[in-house]
Amino acid sequence: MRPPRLAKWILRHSLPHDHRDPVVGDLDEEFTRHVATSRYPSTSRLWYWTQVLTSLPGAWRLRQRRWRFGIMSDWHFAVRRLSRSPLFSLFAVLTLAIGIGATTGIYSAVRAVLGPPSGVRNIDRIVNVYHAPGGSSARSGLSWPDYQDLRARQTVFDLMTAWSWMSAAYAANGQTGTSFGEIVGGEYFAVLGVTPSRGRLLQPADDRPDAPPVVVISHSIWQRVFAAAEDVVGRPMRVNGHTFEVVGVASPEFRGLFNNGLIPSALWVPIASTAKVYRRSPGLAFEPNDRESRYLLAKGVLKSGKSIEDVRAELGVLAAQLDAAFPLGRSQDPRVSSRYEHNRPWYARPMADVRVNESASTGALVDGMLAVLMLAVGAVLLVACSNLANLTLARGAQRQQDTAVRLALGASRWRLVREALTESLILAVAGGLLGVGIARVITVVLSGELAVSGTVAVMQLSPQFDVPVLMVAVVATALALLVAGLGPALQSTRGDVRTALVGDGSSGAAPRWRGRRYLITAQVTVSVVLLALAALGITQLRSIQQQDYGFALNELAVADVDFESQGYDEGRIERIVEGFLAHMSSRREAVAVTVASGLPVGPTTHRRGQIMDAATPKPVYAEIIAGGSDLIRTLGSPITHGRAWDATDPVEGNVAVIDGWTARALFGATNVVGREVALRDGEQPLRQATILGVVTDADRAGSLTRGSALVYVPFRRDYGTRIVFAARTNGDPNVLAGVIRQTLRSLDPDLVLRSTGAGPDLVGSTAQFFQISSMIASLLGAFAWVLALAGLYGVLSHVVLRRTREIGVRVALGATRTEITRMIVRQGLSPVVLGVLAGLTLGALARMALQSQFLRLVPAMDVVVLMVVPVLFIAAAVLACYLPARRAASVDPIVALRQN
Amino acid sequence: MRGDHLGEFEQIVMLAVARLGDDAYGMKIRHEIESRVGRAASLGAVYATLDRLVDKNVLRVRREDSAGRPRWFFSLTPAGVAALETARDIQAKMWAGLSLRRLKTKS
Repeated sequence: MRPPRLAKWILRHSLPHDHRDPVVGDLDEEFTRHVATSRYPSTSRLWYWTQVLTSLPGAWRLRQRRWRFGIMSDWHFAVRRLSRSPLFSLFAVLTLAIGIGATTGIYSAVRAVLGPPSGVRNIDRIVNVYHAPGGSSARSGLSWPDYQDLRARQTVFDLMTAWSWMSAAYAANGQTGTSFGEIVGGEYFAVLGVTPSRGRLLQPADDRPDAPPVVVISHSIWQRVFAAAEDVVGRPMRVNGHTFEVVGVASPEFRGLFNNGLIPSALWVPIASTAKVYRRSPGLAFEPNDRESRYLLAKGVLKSGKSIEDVRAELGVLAAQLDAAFPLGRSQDPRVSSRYEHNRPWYARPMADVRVNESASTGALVDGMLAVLMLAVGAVLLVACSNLANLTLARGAQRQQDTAVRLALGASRWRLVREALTESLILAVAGGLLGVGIARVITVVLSGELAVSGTVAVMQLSPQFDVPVLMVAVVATALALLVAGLGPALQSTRGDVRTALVGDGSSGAAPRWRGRRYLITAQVTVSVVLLALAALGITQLRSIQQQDYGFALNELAVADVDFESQGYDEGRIERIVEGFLAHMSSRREAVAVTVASGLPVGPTTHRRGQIMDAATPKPVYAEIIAGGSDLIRTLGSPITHGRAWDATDPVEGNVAVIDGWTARALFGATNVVGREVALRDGEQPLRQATILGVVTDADRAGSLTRGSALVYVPFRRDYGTRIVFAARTNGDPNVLAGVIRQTLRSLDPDLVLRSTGAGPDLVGSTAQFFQISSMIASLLGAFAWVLALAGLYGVLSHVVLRRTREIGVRVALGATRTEITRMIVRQGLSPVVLGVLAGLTLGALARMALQSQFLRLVPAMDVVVLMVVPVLFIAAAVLACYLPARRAASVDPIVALRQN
Repeated sequence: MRGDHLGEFEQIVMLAVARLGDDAYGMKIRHEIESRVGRAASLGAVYATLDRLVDKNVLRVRREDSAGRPRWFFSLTPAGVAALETARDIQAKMWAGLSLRRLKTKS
């Protein structure tokens, strides 16, 4: 009689591997005895089943003990092995830490820039409504009457609000300052789900025309201006020349919606106060209740069950109704106005889709650039992981014999894989923890206020170290574990036991060199591409810094003042301007002095308009700069044809000076003195002007493609309210900027300046962008460079070690040291050269792709990349190969041949 | 010695190993316990205890192929002998001068 097979199978498989034979053997022996001695042998099978079933708990306890013991011993074993090679462990942990830290830190920064404005709840249910899709913010606003009609007739939103940003000059608690503020509807805070930290927020009652003027301030203004006073509610605050009562402080995390919350707003006033605080464009009258005054952006919270498509459908119907009832753009000249000025192409977009600012094109551009950045960071993480995989593989191959012996003695492959994985887990977790620390440092470094040069704007970046960011760190660590741990663990335990035992472990001609070669090629390629892109940023930066703007930017000192927001009247402005011109003209360091509505570069202090050849009306967008009599001389723009206007020209004269680009765009020639043009300055009616002179091309956009004309006109009747005070010097423009500041202060102590400084500061923001992006790309490229070459060194050292015997044979057969060195160096260099070539090709393609997007005339490859990068790589690679090669060349043939 | 305390079943298993001498393998140990104590012990429980005692370094194991199959033979280590002596001494000390009959009459 035999024991029941199923019971036996159950017992076997419930026991740990090593217990199976002795325990089952014992039971079988007992069974045989039971059959022989029992009075009822037929019960023996039942007896066997009983024995198996009662043994199961004990068997399970045995398994548990084995498992616990296994984990502990894997752990001890791994720690021991890692501590035996501290350099490898340190290198691995640092590699992973930097890879994971860079990925996580940069991801959190990207989220801070791209993410929704902080402090806004239920953003997924909020829909933005614009007058026209895309384009500039000027096109996207709704008028107050249109907004009210829309809100009354719509059926898709639970709540609706409107808002607009404004420049705010404020004075409170003995302090003054300029910043951005917002004009908001009563439901604004309810729509966004913002709560007050002191007092109350604005309510629908504040929208009533007779409501008292109130203001809600930001948490940072409360701290900075009011010194965090507990009794801030009820205190007065002057905003753009009018007194408001502070009714509350917004929650600390809410910073408003301007530039999607990147540039913090200081205060919020009700729409009822628009007439007091808001000016649409310098020098233009603004009537808040006019349907042509489109300055509000609308938002609504979707009703449950309604979608963005429902909103778009309803907007179409409502816009058509309003177009019929209240036609727009009747006073516009149809030749120079566009569709959005004549009807309501209303457009809806989920608020969550907004990136950086309300313009749809910015969103696409920023998304694209950040995708490139994240790809670059991901590539570096991949290089770090593959490099570590390479080194782990090399170590695995060194242990090949050890592994083979253990496999031969009965160790399961799973056990060996588990040991290798435990080692990688320790490295990955240590690297991950250190990486989180590095990411934290990156977020702290990137946090805080980033002053955008030449403007009042202060960009507030606050990368958060939150759950999604931590998830990225965990995923990065898991990826590291997978690439650098599992792959090599599986490969190094796949060894053929017999070959490994019989072979000497050092006879292979080129042990798995090919696979690793490709890894090195790939790493070099990635780092060359990154360096090529970094060089692109540096080239751009250099070209911005050394650029000829067509005027003497580097010699200018400027101060930018917004009089309108400070409530200055014409007489007061005139006194300041004339005082400035008189005082500065007497200073010896000032070569020429002027006032203007703006400059050809820098923040938008100029007026947008249109210009066309009076004979063939085809409008071109234009930046129109109005200035005093010495404008062209102060700017130092060389005049190529005609002359600039001066004090002798009649004040009412309709004259203009244009630059060469504009002349070519309008007339196809540069000598166009005396030709007639039609001008539309801002929203003023069209007027005729005669070209008085042509100056050299002003490269006004810095790095961006030129798309608009540049027109200088003399001030007519008044100076407007947004004025740039400028002076040219042969000395240090920063010193002259100080003089301008003092002069303006002495003329009017209350005057708040938006910005002052030397001319080059005005292009700072563009330069800053390239500075930051090229710095990140350089760092990533350099990191990938170090990794790739360290990897090359590690792998080559290993290969040399494995080829000791072969090299010994070569030396015995008469190979010289030089020949051996050359052979090893050649072998190590070939993947690097291949990687450099591939990297330059891919880099050129990437640069071409980027250039067509948003960069100006930069060659696909420049000298820096073509000369420096290959030299950098090949020189370092020679060094990385030379050290192992020297070791190989010093092999003693007798020792090598006797080896094993 | 790693395990300085022996449980009741552990002591029983060790005493069975000591009694069996060179012939102490799983089945024999189980029979020894069953015939002397009169209590059935499952093979799983016996092996789990043996495994733990080996781990405590009071038993050692040697693997031998006999009767055409692998068997594990157990024997006491010096530490095991000492542990059994300690256990017996503790018991003897605790029992010294104690009469259960007197306790029974009192209650």
